[in-house]
Amino acid sequence: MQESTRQVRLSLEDLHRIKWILGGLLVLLACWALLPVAFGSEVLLLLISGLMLFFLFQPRFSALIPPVALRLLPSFLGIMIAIDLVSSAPDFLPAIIRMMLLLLLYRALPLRTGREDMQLLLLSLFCLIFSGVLTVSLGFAVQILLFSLISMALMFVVCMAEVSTRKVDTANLWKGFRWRGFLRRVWGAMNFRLLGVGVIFFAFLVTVSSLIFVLIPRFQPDEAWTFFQINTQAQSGFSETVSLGSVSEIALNDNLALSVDGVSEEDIPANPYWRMLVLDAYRNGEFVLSSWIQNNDRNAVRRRVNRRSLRDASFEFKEPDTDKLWTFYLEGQISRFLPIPGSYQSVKFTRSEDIQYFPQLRNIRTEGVSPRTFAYQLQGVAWAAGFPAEDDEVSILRTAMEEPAQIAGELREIYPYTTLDLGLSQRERGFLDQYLKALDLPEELSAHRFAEHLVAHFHDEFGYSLSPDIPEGVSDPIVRWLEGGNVGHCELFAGGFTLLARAAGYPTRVVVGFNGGNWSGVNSFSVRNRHAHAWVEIFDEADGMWLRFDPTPGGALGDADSSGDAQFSERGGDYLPSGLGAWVDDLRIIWYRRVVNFDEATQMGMARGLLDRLKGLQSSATELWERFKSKGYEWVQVSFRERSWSALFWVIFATLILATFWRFRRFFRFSMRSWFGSRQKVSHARKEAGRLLLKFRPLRTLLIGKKEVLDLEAERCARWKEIEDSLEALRYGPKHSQRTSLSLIKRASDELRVMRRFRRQLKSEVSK
Amino acid sequence: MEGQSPVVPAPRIKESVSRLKENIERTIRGKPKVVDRILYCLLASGHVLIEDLPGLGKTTLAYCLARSTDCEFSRIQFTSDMLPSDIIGVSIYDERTKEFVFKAGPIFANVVLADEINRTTPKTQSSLLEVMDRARVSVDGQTHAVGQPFMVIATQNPVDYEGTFPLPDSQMDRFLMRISVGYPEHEDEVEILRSGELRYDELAANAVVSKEEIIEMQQHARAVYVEQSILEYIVQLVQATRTESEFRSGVSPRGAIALRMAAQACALAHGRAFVVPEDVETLIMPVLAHRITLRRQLSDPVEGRRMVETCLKAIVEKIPLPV
Repeated sequence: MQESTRQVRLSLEDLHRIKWILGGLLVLLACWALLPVAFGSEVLLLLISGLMLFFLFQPRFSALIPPVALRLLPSFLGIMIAIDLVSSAPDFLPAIIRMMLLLLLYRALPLRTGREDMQLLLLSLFCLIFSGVLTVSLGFAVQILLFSLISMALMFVVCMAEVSTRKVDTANLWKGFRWRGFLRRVWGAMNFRLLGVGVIFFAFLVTVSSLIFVLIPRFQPDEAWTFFQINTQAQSGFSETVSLGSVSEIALNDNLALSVDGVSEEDIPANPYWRMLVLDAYRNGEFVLSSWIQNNDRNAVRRRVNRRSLRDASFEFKEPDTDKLWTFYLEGQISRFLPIPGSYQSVKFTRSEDIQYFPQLRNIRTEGVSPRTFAYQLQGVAWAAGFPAEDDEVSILRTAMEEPAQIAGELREIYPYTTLDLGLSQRERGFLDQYLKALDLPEELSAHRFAEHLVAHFHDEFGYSLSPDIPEGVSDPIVRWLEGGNVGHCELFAGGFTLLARAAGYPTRVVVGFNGGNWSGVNSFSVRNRHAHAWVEIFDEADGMWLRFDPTPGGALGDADSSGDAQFSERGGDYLPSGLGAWVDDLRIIWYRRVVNFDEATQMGMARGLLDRLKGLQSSATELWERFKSKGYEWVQVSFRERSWSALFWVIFATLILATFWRFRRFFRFSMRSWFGSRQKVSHARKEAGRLLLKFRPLRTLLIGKKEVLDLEAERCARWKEIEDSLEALRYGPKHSQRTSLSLIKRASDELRVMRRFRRQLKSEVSK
Repeated sequence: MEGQSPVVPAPRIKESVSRLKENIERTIRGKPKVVDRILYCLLASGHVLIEDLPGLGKTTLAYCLARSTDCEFSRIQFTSDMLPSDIIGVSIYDERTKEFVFKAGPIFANVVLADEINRTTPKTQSSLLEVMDRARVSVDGQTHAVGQPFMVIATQNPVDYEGTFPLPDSQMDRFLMRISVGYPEHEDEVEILRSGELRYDELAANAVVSKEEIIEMQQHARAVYVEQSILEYIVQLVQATRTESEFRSGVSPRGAIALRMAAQACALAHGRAFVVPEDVETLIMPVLAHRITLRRQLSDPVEGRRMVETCLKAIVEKIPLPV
């Protein structure tokens, strides 16, 4: 009874409902895929996703759309899309995304024919590929897997629905539709054999796709076609202009920002600082990278790097371990600036890049903010808490420190004068001087000592908070904070330090990047957005070095020692993400390592590895064979010399066994089949007899017909007739004993060989 | 079924059948196939309907068979005014014993020739149903066995159907085979002319097989071994006739049993104690064709029969023989 209730047959209407629902799921999948690249179309995307979700939960509302509206919609959409495309020229990409979204919704809402289903399928596939090429994120892998599943199911349902020629009453399809009942029906109709076949097909698809991925030549579609190159916005905290609070805003996000692969535990110090960009100037409450640096070719070296190394001039700063190659994966839409932990020997890119290198700031900036994960490699990295300034930079700064009054007019805009310029009003400067006086610092302090005092002051007097208490007013916000605040975030501390240090005559610049990170499960180091941080670098006149200090309470006292021997693992590190989050992070790293970073070199390496392995196998097999041969030879020699009798016995025994087996091979085979094949409808003996009969009968008829030509004896003919009758009896008669069956089959086989010989003879006679 | 078959003296039976055949063929010349089939019917304890034109030797064939087997022969000439009692007999009042006494009709014989069976009314035709099925008749609440062996050889003219009553399906189903004799070949006809005798009493046919031997042969025919795959082949054939769109009604299980019995008889006649697929294949047409009715009613019965045979042939070709 239970069996019969399980066997539900889905109606044609049910199949059309499933088709519609799968189409809706495809639209949601496409929306998800387009989310990271839908710049400026987020509202439309969310609207369409919401609408589709609503219709999926309440499909009966989709039937309320009047057919007239559906007929008029294509022309309306066409006009809208054309206007959108024309108005957004020459940047067609956002318009194309909007077009795809509208077309998806238009195709998904009404019930579709088989052809329209294919259109929807192609449209959503295009969305997925489009987004996948741009982002190459782990999400793309998940999306394409889901797409394969849904599209396979959709095509299967379309094929089933197409078999019927009956028309479906589309107007009443969703009348009285209940999800619970529908799902119960679908579950009841689910055939586990079908599911098994589906799983096998899916596994086959994934395997074949993986093989194709590994084997096809590498190419970068977005490099080849400029159409695919889109520019996205950097996070404001990591751009050339950082306003107060924007770095802390990034820190509220817990997403992965950077993964470093190829590092070992001893490579990461106790408190790692990932330096991204240096902001030398301060204007109207914002730290900026001065335009003088950005636009001067000497300061911003532009290079087209074609997967080659870019050497860092500061290499001699510390002897690096040149073999170490760290791979960095910077998530998409973070920044144009690359996080770099210290000095390095060289930097490599996985593909051709237009980059800018700032030698004085030791920053690298890419052409645009990558919408996808950006990979680069650093060779010979050495952590550094200070960087030597360039020679002319040192001389300029020394002069400027001696005569601060000369920094005026245009000089204020030129680096490194910008690192001394306050850009504040007289009142505000006065306040800073008073503040410094109140600190009661000793006279003639070195920059290092001064910074230590100031950091200690901040750590003692202020607290850390993401919601700082900046008093209301119109003057500079940092000055106001110093005047009346108690708590602040990293930018305020970095800003406060910078202004006070500059007021005291020490060149200072703000650095933005990440501080901290955690180990992921697959032996790589992850840095998340919440590790976003700002700190300062102060120029030490004595050494001619820019020294790192972190004035934010809770951070390490930013001296050079923190990058020294203490290791990250000893300190305990940051808290590790656990559960699903950690698993996704690990998966992401594997995705970067194995898929995103899978270039020609990896491909070649893989091929070489395979070749080496094969060669190794071949050589070990040859070696094994040689060893076996020599051992056998040795054994035979020894046997005949020392144990000749026993050896002879064993050889004869083995030969006898083999010969017996060969002589009775038919019996063994027959017995095995009879034992194991006893459950078959027709027994093996009968089958064998039938098979022989098929060959025997026509051959006998042929030969008997040419009895005279072949000069056949009557006895032989009678024997053949008798064998044929016996075979017939064995095949169709009552059961025979195994012994008689076997002997008959053997006789028939032997006679068949004789008959074939006669047939050859007959052929030759005829040809003569 | 395997291994349970009693010993069937197939070679001996083959020899008896050959004797019978030779004896009949002395009179019925050039028709070995027809003789074979009628002998298969005898072995399978079945009845046969011979459909052909007058003067082709239908009656002679039946007479020869009866004479060759030392069996009692009776001939009933069916006419439209015939009553059932004219065939099966009647109870009449005996003045001396003061009771009803059953006077057996012409059906009480071993080989009964029902000549021109379609000339009589369905009522009279139906009186044969019981006797053909069970070899006995019931009159006035009393059952009378007609004796063993019992075989009805009915004849009818397929062309001259004016004033005839076609046999109902239930009656047709009682016949194991429907065969036709056909015109003889040139040489055979010359030979018939040379030695042919129109008077049945002067036919050169003597009994070559005794009545007891026939009964024994019939018992052995039922014991001929039929292998599983052949049974399945028969069922496949029969089922195919039921799903054929041209047919209104396919072959009944009685038809399937008839085909098996005919094949068993055929195997025995060939001296085999087991059935081979060819036995079944050769007998499909005579055993099954008359059990099938067409969906379309054709005005010409000959045309209808041809169509049934064409469709049957197509079915046979579609189903592979068990190998």
